[in-house]
Amino acid sequence: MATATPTTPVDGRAARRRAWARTREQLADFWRRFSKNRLAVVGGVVLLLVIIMGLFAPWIAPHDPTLPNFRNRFAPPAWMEGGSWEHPLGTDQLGRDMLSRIIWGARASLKVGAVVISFATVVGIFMGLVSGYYGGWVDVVIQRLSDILLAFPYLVLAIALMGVMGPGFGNLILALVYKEWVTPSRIVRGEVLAAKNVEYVEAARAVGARDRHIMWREILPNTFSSVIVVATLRVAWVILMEASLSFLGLGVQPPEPAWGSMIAQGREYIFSSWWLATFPGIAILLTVLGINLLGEGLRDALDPRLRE
Amino acid sequence: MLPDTERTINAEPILDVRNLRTHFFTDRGVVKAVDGVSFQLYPGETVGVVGESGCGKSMTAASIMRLVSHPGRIVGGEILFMGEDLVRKSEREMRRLRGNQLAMIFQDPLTTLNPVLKVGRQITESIRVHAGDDREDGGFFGWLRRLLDPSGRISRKEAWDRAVDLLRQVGIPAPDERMRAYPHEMSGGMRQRVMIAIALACNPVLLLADEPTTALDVTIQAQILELMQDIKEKRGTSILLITHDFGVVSEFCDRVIVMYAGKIVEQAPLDELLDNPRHPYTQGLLASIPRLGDKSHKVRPIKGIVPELHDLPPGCSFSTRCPLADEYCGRVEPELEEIAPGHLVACHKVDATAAGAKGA
Repeated sequence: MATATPTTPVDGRAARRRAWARTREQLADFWRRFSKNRLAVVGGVVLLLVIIMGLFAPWIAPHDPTLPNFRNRFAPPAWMEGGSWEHPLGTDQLGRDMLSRIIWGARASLKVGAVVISFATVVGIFMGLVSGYYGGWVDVVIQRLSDILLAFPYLVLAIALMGVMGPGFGNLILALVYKEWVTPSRIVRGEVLAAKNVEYVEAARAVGARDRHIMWREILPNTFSSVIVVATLRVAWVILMEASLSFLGLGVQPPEPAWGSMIAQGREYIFSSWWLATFPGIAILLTVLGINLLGEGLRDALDPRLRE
Repeated sequence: MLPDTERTINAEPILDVRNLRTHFFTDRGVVKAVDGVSFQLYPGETVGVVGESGCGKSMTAASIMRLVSHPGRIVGGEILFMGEDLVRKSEREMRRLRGNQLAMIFQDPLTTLNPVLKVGRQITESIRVHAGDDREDGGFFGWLRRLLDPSGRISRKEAWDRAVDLLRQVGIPAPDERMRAYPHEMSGGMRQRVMIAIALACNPVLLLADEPTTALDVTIQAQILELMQDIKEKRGTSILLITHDFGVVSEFCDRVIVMYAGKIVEQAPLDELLDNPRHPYTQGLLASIPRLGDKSHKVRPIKGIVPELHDLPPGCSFSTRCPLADEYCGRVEPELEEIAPGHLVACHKVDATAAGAKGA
C-alpha cells in the first residue's frame, strides 16, 4: 500500500511543463495588476536606472569621480554659459566631474540600502517569528526592546552610534540595522499572530509537525508578500538615512562620492554654484520617490485580498 | 464491515476514553466543553459522535489529539490510546503520535491547506515530518549525527513518489499534475481528498474526522464518504466521525454517541439507536430531520437553544428543553445507564421514552 509507484518520466515532464505554464500565467497576472498603476511602473524604471548606474558605474561614468582638476573648478552644467559636454553636469569645488560623482554616489547609496535592508529583514523575520509564535515572556522582551529602539529618534540614535563606533562602512551598516530590524519584525509578528490560529496551522500540528517546521515552513511563506513590500519601502528610508549621515560627515567618507556628502560640500557654494548641491539632491529625491512609488505599486499588486 | 459482537467484546479497545473533562477558563466563568465523557473505540470500528454545535464533540476530538488551545485545558480523565494514557504524555511524545498513529481530518478543506504552498509540498512534508523521529533524541550530539548522516530521512524523491501514490489512492486524477497545483486551483472535494491523503500518509491506526463532509456539496459528500469507507475496509483504520448529520452517521457508522452540553446522553449501536432512540434529545434530533417523500412526517424542531455552557441548569442539562422534564429532572443529574446490551442512556424518564410509550 505504501509502495511508491514511480511516475513515467514523460508524465512528469509534461506535468512540469504545465506547472511552468501556470507559473508564467501567474506572473503575467501579477504584471497585469502591477502595470495598471502607471506611477509604480515609472518608479520601477527610475529605480532600475539607478541600479544600472550603481552596478555599472566604472563603465558608465565618463571620468574618475575622485580625480581633481584644479584648472576647471566650478564648471557649470553643459547647457549653461561656459559649460561644456565634457562635464554635462559641471564640476565641483575641486574640479571633479559631477555626473561621474553622482553615478558613483548611486553605488554607495544602493550598497548601504541593500545591505542594511537584507540584514534587517533577516533579523526582523527571525525576531518577529519567535516573538509572535511563542508569545509569553519572549514576546514581551522582544516587543519592549523594539519599543525602546523606536522611542529614540532614528537619526539621533544613528549619530550617537556612529559617534561611539567611528565612521566606516561596517559601522554604518551596524548603526542602521541596529534599529531597522524593528519594522520587518513588527510586520512579521503581526502576520504570525494572525496566522497562528488559522486552521492550516492547526492541521499542521495535527500531523505532528514541530514548532520550527510550522514557523518556517507554514507561517513564514504567508508573510512574504508584506515583507517584500515593507523591505522595498524601507530601502528608500535607509538611503535617506545614509545620505543624512553622510551629510553630517558620519557616513560614507570622502573622497568616496556619496550623495549626502556631496550636498554637504556643495552647500557652501549654493549661491555661486548651485549645481554642486542641487544635482545630488535631485538624485536622492528621484531615487526615494521611485522606490516609494514602486513599493506602493507592489503593495497593491501583492495584496492577497485582490488575488484570485 | 460491521465488527461482530464477539470481536467487539473480546478485543482490546484501541481508544478508551475515561471520564474526560476539558474545561475552558474564560472571563465569563468555566466552560465545561467536555464534562465526564467516557467511551471506547474498537479496532476497525467506526463510531459517530453526534450533537448540535457547541455540544463538545469537536473538543472531544481536539482533546484526544491534545490540541486543546488556551484557555482550554484537559482537567481530568484518561485517554487510553493503545493502552497508553495520552493525557499524561509529553508534548514531544504527542507530536510523534500525531499524524503517525493518530490522524485527523478537519471540517473545512478550504482553510486547512496552506494557501501559499503547493499541494505536493504539503503532502511530502507530512510524510517527512515523522521520518527522523526515532533519532530525535541525544541533544547536541544527536543533532550532529542527524546533520552528518541524514540517511534516516526519506529523500524528497521518495516522499514525492509516495505522495503521488497517496493521491492516486484517494482518487485524484492526474496526481502528478495536482502535486504542482496550489490549493486554490482545486475544488473543495479535491482539497478534502488531499487532506485525507495527508492524514493517511503514515498509515494511522485511528482517524479522527471532524465534520469531514460538512463543507462539501451533497454529491461530493457521498464521494468522500465512499472514499473513507474504502479506506476503512482496506486498511482497517478505526474512525471517530464527528458530525451533526444523522444522514452521514446512518450511512457510515457502526455505533453512535449522542452528546449534549459536554456530556454523552445516549450511546448505542447504529440500528438500535435509529430504531429505538430512548433519550428525548436523540428522539428530538431524529424527528427534526426532514424526510423526502414522506408527507405524513412533519419536521419537528427541538424547542429552545443549547444552554450556555458556563451556566448550565442544575440536574439534567436538557431539562430546560425536554418535553418530559419534571421538577426532579431539574434537580438531579441522570447517570448513563445500560438499558440494553451496548445501549446507554442518561435520562430519568427512560421508561416513558420507549417506542411503545410515545413520548416526544
